[in-house]
Amino acid sequence: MSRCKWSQRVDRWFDGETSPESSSEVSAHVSGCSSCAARLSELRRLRAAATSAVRHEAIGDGQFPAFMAGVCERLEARHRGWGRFWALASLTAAALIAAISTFVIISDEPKKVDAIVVESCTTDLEGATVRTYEDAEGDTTIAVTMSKDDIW
Amino acid sequence: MKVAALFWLGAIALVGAGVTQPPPARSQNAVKVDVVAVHAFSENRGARVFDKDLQDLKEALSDLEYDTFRRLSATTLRAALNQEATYEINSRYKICVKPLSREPSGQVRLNVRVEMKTGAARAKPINAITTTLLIGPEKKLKLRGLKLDNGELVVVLMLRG
Repeated sequence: MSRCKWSQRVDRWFDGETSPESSSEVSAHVSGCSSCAARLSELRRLRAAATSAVRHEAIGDGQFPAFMAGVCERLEARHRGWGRFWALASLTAAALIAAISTFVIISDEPKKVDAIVVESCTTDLEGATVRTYEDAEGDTTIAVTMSKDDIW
Repeated sequence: MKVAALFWLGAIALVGAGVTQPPPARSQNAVKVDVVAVHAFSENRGARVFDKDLQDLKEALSDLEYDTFRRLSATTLRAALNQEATYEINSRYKICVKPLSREPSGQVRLNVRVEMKTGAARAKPINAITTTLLIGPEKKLKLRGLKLDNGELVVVLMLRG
């Protein structure tokens, strides 16, 4: 299709860049020129396509509660991530404290000894002897052997 | 988050208390020694006979060659360090216990004497047994060989834990 010499004026008119007098002239021309009518039609189609392409997502009133719920959920999920971190750190610290406490208790407390150690053992009985021994039960015995003719 | 914060505060307080608190002083309470006096003798029985009060000491007395065991008396002696506690077992024997020191091991160093009165009425008692020993809690010490009637006197001592 050959291009009409009014084509540029039609473009400006479509963009609202012409004066009112010029606009009525262009409008009158387009109604009688098939080329310019086609051009105008194409311009309208292009504008419609461009408008739809740059359309922003709008949140309607009905969608707002769901939108806010989503936002809150994401915030809570982020919070839960920190909570896990602190819980893990707390558990690790508790284990460390328990281990250190156990070590301190074990290392500080002297080992209990329940044995009997006889350091000295004597008798003043004339003719008597004294000895110590440990029986099968692990009990210590101090035995004095008195002379048979001992009279007491 | 609040729980973790409380935990950390508690942990810091615990560690602080542990650092600042001095080690617990060993108790300076009196040393307690259980004393059981047993008369061991033989009556040619087929089996060993123990007083019902001596059931806990059956094993401790099992190495003695007698068949009859009667409890004469029992007491708990209490004495502070370097102080002597005494107990008259009967008219002839007396036991004297003197704690000398407490050891870090939990043992107590004891001086133990068994005094025996001789035949002479005004004669000074003789130390039939004198011993110094380290004894741990719940361990039994037997003193034996002291003549008593047709058998012997056995004294069992046990340090209270």
